[in-house]
Amino acid sequence: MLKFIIKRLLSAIPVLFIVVTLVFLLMRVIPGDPATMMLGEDADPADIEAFKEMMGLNAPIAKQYIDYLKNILTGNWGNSLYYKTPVFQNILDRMEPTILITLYSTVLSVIIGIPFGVIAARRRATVTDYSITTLAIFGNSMPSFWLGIMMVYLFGVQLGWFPVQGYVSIAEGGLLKSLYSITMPSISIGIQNVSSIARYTRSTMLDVLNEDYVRTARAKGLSEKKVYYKHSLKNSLAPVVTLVGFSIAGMLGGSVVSETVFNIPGMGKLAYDSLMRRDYPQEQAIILFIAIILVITNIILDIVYKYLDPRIELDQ
Amino acid sequence: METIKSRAKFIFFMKRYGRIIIAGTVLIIIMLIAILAPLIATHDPYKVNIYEAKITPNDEYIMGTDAYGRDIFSRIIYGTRTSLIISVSVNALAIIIGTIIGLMCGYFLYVDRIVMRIMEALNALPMLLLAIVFASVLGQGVDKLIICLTMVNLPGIARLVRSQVLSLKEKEFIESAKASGASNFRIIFKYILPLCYSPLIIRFTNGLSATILTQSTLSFLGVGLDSRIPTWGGIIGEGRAYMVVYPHMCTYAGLAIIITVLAFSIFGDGVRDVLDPKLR
Repeated sequence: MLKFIIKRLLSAIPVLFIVVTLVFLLMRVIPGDPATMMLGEDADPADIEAFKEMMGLNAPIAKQYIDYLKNILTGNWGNSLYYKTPVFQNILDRMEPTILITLYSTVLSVIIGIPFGVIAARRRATVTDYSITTLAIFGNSMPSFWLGIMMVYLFGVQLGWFPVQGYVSIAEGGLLKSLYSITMPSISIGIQNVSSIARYTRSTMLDVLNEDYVRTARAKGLSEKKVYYKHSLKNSLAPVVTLVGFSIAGMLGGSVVSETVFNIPGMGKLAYDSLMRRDYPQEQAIILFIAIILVITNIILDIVYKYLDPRIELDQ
Repeated sequence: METIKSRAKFIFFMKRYGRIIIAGTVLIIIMLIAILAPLIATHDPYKVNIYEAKITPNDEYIMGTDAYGRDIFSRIIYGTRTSLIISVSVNALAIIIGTIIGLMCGYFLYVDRIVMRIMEALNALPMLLLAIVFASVLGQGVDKLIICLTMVNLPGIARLVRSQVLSLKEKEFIESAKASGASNFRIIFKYILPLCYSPLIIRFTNGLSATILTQSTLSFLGVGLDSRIPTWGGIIGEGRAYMVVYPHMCTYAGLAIIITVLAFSIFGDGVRDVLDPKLR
């Protein structure tokens, strides 16, 4: 197991290196010059030159790249062009709501999605199965931004059950208040994942139920409950774990949308705003940061997968 | 006796193809709407008229008007065009390029090492964030949006084809083809590619619905297309600010997205069950 973990950690290094390179290149080809963007259209050309010189934007691209790599490795991620403060600090300041929404919504989708998938598989080809499957397809078809807006209208404006927008940080109002303020965004981006997890659990469960060892378990005279929850569920969950990884990635990306809809000062909103402001250092840092989170998440999920299904090896 | 038999046949037929037929019909209607948009639309979708702005649905404007006085119904009808054109071309392009990359990777190990690392890195980034960054790199325009969404879809398809190739490569019929002196090119396109068709068709139909959602999300955020071009996401994005007083500005466009995506998903599921019954 330890060997597996070390191997998995080492395999993440080239991935991150390519992400860094890719992000660097992407940011250089974005049209629009950050200096003009920062100082205004009618700024003095001399000022613009001075600004470029100061930010190192005039150096040859290869030198910029090497400097960039050096800085990333030494932990000096640079300053935001817009806020003038260290980019890493800005991310840390905005991290809380995004991470909290992602966790909240992942937990919601797992505790709702998996049981529904199991029930649908158990009652295969009955009304229950068809209703769950249909609901799941419906949930998968709903754009989260639209659902968010509709929820704001119904539960926020009309019924007044939840705050229409904004975020209460843990420091401000405690964990419960904070979770309350992000319930609607979490549900609106979670619905799609509930649906895909339910559908996926159902289909892997049906696969497992066809296996010989399940027949053996039944032949032994075990109760249906034991067959389902003890012999089948654990094995069918292994592939579902991979899906959870994908959905966490989806939610971190989706935070750009939900945080815009609900006006939450999180990483997603910062990513969107920085891109619109051509704040390269900030944007690079956020993308890199999210990539690191995702790589770590995937490593953890691979370990969970290995634990659930020891037969698997790292695919080479 | 005959009637019972034909009835059983009918039920069997409907169980197998029912979803494809129903969802397919809806899709044909949607395509007709896109093609016949100028005939169906009641107003010019581009025409700004500030005196008629923010009108709630009535006899003249059946879905009301937006903040600039443009008819929402006509904009949704024209938005069908935008969505379908982008979604179909993105998936067709992505399937073709992705398949070529996947075949090369599965068959030539040195290509595999390089490309798969890049694909892995792309996979370490959330698709939506990547799409937003690509879209702002490329600038506005339908063609650019198509390129952007195609790039985002490539890693998944390349991976799919690659894994198919890797498992097929070990099969005996490939070895016998090699032994009889078939070139790599011939083996790839004549023996391996045809066996990838059914997973690719499944991927294509599923991709259509996913692309409509992504594209709507980008337009909602105002990335990728000029805001004057009617798109479902764009209508919702512009209506959002007036949502509290005029919910009609967001509701209908959202329903258009749901109906279309739902039809594509159900159609895709039906196709999948026919092509690959064990996935049910």
